[in-house]
Amino acid sequence: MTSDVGAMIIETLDRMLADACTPDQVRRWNAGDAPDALWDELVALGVLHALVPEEAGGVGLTLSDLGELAMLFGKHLVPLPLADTIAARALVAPGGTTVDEVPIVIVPAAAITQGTTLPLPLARYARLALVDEGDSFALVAAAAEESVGTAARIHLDSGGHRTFSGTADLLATAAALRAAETAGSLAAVLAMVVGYAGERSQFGKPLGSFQAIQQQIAVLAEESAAATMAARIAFAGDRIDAGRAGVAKLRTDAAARRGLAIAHAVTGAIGISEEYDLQLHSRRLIDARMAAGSETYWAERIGRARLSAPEPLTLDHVRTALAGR
Amino acid sequence: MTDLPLTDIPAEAEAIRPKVRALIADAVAGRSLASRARSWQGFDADFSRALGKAGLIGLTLPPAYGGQGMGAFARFVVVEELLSAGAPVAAHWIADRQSAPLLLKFGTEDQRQAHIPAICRGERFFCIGMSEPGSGSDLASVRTRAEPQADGGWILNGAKLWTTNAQHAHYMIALVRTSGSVDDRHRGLSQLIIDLSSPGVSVRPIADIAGDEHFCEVHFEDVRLPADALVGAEGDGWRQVTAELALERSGPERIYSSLVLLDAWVERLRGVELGSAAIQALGRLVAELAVLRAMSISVTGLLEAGQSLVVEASLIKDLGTGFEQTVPQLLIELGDALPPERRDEDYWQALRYVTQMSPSFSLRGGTREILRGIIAKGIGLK
Ligand SMILES: Cc1cc2nc3c(=O)[nH]c(=O)nc-3n(C[C@H](O)[C@H](O)[C@H](O)COP(=O)(O)OP(=O)(O)OC[C@H]3O[C@@H](n4cnc5c(N)ncnc54)[C@H](O)[C@@H]3O)c2cc1C
Repeated sequence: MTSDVGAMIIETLDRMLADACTPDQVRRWNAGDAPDALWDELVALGVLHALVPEEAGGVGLTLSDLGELAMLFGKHLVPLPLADTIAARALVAPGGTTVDEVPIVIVPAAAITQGTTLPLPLARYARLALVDEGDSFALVAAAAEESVGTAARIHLDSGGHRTFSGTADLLATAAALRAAETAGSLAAVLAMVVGYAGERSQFGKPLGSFQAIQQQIAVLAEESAAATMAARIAFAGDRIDAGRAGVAKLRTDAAARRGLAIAHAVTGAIGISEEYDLQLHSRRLIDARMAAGSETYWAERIGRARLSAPEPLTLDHVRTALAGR
Repeated sequence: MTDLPLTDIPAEAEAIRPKVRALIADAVAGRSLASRARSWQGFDADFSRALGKAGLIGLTLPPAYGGQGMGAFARFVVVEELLSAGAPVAAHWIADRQSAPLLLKFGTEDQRQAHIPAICRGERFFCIGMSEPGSGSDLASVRTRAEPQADGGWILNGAKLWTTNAQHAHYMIALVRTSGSVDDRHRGLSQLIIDLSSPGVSVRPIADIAGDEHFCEVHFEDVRLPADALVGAEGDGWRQVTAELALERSGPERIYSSLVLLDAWVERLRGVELGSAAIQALGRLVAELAVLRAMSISVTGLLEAGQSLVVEASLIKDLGTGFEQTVPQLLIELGDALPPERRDEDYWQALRYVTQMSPSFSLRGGTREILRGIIAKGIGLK
């Protein structure tokens, strides 16, 4: 459940982002215009410190609030690793060091190859990267090397390397954040597709009145609802863990896979055109699926965890390891 | 669509889990896997009476009628325990889930007193007469007809089909036409309580694909019913049935029908060198279950808070029954990687049974296509 402050902030941000992230603007950001004005606005609102405790000068939101925020960022196609930045700042906050108010992307260990990462979603405009060093984290300078839309390979420069004590599963964290952005994005896709089916007519009536189309969009709605719940599971409790985050990533990826296929089927040729806004979501959804552990990767881990858990009942495993709290 | 918040089962509802589990463990001990895999198709009147005695039927009903006055979450806990153990709950299932809440909501004080306490004791069994030979998905086309009599009573003629447990049930609550004609569709339908021991009622069980007999055809020939057979208002049957179906659709019984089988499979896999296909399949099933359960708990909370969630209940049922159907299909697809000494006939009986019955998971309680139609309308497609 979101906290009261969380709900208020989400409401404010929902409006602010709706105004700021117009489809045209998102296209410009995708093409390489840096979203500096948006970033400044977010900094001014204090969003970056959302998860930092109030005692430490932050907003003091809960982990479940972060999940709701990340859904919002997915819904509005925020072109920055904003959820990553909020999570990263919360992780390094106990160190007490001041960290520049710049976009931070979380780099799961598996994404590093000799200084340059594999392509990471939303990394294009990142200035810092949070990397895992086993029993500590480090913030290192990051610069995009090769970008497609908002995804990029980034070069990590350990020159400005700063170490922070503490541990967190960065792969699980990235998986949880991608899951939540995916859920938010899919909900937006559903709304777009329902709208399109009501407006576009063939054979003299709206597409949405054909039963074959209705049945498909109903499945998209189911997948969207399942994705939202899956994402929320990742942010239950007070720490992101691989079990819940894996469930979330696996289920939201599956929802994106099935849901996007339907969205594109219903919108026909225009759906894969640059001009139509669906692609703005499709591209992000595909980026997210390609990052932070695939469906198969997480399925394997969840399956192994079930087999090594002693409970005879899968219900008990789900209740204790994969439920709300 | 209503946003579904992640919801915890409250501690007081969780607190009854150990008691339920102990009672069930005794009841299922010694039952074969294939019998437990029958889930809510398993009929055992003694077990239902024992549950009633332990206060586990009518959990949400008021104590004045023999219920426990507890919340919907308590019922959720009991139901998921029963299903995941494969307890034989068919005898009291429909009365507990649908008939008693229906009578509480729409029945007269006499009707409530006459039936609800006996239902809560696990002694009175009900069945639901909606479908007919000519009316399946198109429920508003029912032809069974009750003619009002001068004394206020009714004379009933017609037939119901696929009525689960009619051969064991004491009463049926049926949707029948009480005025107008078939062309009037939703208007003129009413719900009546039918004492199945009345003269003119004949019940014939129908064998299913697995050789079991649970559903029946029920014929009515000039069956005389008293005036107080009517539940709620004459002509209000459609509205009442719609409310009833929402109760039926989002619960764990739309998710857990294959859990006994899944758990048996997990036990068989332990300690065996496995390929990735089986492990990944298991991971996918566990993840799906975790999400579906969270959705079902969320809807339980919202329904208790008084929200009407027809779309959400429908989408959970569609996803949930899809999961139930995937389990046996995957297990067959993966085959048995186990060495011969670990194979056992009981597992194969259970797998065969669940696979044979699995098409029914997305038929009973409203078919997949009907549910998707409800969802589409609910999100604004016309
Ligand atoms: C195990 C089991 C137990 C049951 N128990 C009971 C019970 O206790 N009481 C009771 O009243 N009934 C019971 N039923 C009956 C159940 O409610 C019906 O099977 C169900 O409503 C579907 O009706 P039908 O089987 O006549 O199929 P039909 O309605 O003939 O449907 C056949 C197919 O056509 C599709 N279809 C129908 N109409 C449309 C449409 N408008 N658009 C698109 N597709 C459509 C359906 O989705 C389905 O795929 C039970 C069924 C089963 C399998």
